[in-house]
Amino acid sequence: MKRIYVIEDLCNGCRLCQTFCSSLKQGVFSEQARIWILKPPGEERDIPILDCIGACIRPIAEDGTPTCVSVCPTGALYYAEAQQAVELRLTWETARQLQPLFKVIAPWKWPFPWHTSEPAPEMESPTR
Amino acid sequence: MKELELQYVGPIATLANLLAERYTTQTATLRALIKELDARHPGLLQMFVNPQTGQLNLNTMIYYGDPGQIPAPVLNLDHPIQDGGTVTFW
Amino acid sequence: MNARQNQIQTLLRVDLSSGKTRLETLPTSWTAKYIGARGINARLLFDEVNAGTDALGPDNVLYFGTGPMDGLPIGNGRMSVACKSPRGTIAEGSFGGFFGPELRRAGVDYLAISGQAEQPVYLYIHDGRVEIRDASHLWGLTTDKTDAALRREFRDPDVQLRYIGPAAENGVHSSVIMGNLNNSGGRAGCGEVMGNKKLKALAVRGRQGIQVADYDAFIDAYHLYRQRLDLATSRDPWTPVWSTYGAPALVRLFAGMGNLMTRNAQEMGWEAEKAQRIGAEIYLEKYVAKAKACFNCPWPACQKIHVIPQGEYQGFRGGNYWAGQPVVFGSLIDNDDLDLTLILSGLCNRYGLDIFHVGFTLAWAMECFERGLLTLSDTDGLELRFGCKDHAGLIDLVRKIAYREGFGELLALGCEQAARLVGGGAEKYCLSVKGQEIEAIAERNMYMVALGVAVSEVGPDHTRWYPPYPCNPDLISRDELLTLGVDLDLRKAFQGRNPEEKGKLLRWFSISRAVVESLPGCVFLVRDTLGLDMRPWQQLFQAATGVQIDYEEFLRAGERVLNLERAFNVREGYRRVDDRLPYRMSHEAVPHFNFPPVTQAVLDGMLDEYYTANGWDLATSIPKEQKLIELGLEDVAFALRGSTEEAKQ
Repeated sequence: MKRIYVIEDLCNGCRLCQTFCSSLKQGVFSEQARIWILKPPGEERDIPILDCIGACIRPIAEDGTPTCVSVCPTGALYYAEAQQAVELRLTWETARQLQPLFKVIAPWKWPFPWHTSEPAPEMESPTR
Repeated sequence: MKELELQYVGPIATLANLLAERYTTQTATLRALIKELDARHPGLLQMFVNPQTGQLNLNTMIYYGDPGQIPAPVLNLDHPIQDGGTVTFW
Repeated sequence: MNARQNQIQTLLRVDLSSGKTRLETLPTSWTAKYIGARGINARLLFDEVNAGTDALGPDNVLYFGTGPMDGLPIGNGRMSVACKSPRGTIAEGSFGGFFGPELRRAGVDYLAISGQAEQPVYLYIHDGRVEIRDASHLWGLTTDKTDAALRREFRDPDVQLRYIGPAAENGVHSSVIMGNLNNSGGRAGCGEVMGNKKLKALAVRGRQGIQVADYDAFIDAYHLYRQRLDLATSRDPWTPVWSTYGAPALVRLFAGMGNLMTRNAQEMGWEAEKAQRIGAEIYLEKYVAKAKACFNCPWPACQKIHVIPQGEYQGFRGGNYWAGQPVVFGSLIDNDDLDLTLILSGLCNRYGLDIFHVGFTLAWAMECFERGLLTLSDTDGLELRFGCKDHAGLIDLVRKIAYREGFGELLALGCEQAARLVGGGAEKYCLSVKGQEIEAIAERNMYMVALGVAVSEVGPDHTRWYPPYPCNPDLISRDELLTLGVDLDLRKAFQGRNPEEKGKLLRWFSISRAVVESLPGCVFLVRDTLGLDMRPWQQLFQAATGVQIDYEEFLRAGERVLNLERAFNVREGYRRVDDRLPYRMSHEAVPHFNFPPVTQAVLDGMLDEYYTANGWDLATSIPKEQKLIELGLEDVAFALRGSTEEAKQ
């Protein structure tokens, strides 16, 4: 069964998930939702907390993906079966070691090719 | 042989795993250059060239300058390249 | 569920002298006429702050304006702040983060703060009411400490805050209002005015929801909006870069193109290696800890939190490294040490200083020092040259500016006043317009920027006509552009050093961005066709408010805002002669790239086109009566009659 999984480090705190979720029942946008972003003081941590199995009352995505997952810009939320969830998590962890870009976005949300071989020690640049 | 200064910005640096390099080529146009560079930086062709139209992808930019000229955005991939030119891939 | 309607807009008035507060409802007709945020702030300011008001007195009013989109997914937490600037013009700016949505959820859309408190206070807004609370325990704290202190007091991670730092408390020129640690706004004078009112902070907590008028239509329009902005579908080369690496990516590109201000804009190019050292790639690789976003931003990483990884300042944390900081604390002062760039930027945030004020005034001072107009005895012994390696000295100097100590006292005045005091030609090196330092965008290579900088009513502010680089003209046909009200040759309009079509282009940008800032929405998101085709914004507005408005009326709201702001300045005595460029841009060519100066003759041609397109008088820039009546601003026309008569004499 598919569930919603969280990569905390990728959450940028935008609260699209919380805001859209809150609106699904009555068209009212608020902070009351089945997912909320805990922001400990200091503005540096954003922690998604979920109380949901992903069966939106009326998802806004055509394919029925849970709304929070469909609106999340970074891929901090993803929707998968358990085995696939493990694989995806590992994909992100590996990608993050290879490219700094994946500090801010999940590789499955990045629609462009990227360098995948062993990490270079430093980015090269020529001397003039 | 043409020696070019190539610059890779942002997402292209992620693709090439490089910020910049000096590159020697015998190609005559940006289009041919990209095709050749694709072997070295896989995905560059896919990034920049739309497979249907053959034109520059709308979400990318290339700045080119002949030696001594100020680099300017180029839309036409058949733009000729010269020895000493600079190409910035955005 | 406790929900509020979205068509009704409320104004909470607070008078800090008397302590009186009142919650009002704004006329419902204003939603269609001025939309909200910047638009309604402009209306209120024009009505309530008369010509000649002392900006640093009790009669100046500080407005915070959200709008119908705030708290909804496209509002992005934007909020407009406005007042009369101590410099004499209107001061208006906007910032993001999370305050706007919270204010609306507390039942308040606008704040109008008049008077002056005798002792430092802060406001706590909740449930449609406000408490004026003692802030003496907060006065003097830097913004990060203020944030922490208030969060401890409220013990609620979702209380939202705006605050000033020591710079605004000390009346430093151009000081800003901060929030969510790294969001800043109001550099045109709002921070100074907030400090002058002894208002240290705003705190708000709200739990109401916001009901949209037509949810299904809103979701449909939202799908289109996301299509324009999502990585997989956005047809805009700025989307992939801006939404991840961020605006510092410009530095390496501009360094070789003549677009990068170096050594106080004496040059416009920089060595590629230096640009790399403070560029977006190194920043992302070595400094970024995580991405950070404003409320409901559709982009993954416009903002970021960073930490200095090693060295003397290891562990120093900050956020929001955009296009301004790498220039003003990089090439402009010829510094290629990213640690220093981030520290100076971070200190500006903590003190509540404007990075453009500090950067351009530092650069001006460096040029003066190198030319012998300032000496070691002026600078408290600091060898203030471009490329200055005395980092501790520079860091201390920024502190001195915030606290008006020593040499910081002169710099705290802003470079225009400082230059006047120093004399001896120092004015020629000062890069400011209407008393406000410029921003980091090249005037001599992009004539639309030159025009925009010259005419902006609040002093140089690129967000009023963002972006300065072309959108793809192939995305919309010429015919469709005409139906959208964009009657220009876009290719010619975006030719950098061609003065043609710039007036008409700036008019389009100024009006459409005024609409975006009034919804409010984020002008950084006018990507793909969202900057030319305003229909998605109109659809979202209609669905959210239920206000049916045709496309022309929608744009007209933006034109009204622009005219109200211009009229405010006219009433204060500003005329065409004040729409000018800094001496360097109008007199000096750019070396190496050989861009000529934007001479008065060239500027005049563009001003003529801009004023004509806007229906403003060519000689004075005063909006013509006929234009104001056409816009439904008869009262403004009446108010300006005095100015028009005077101008004729």
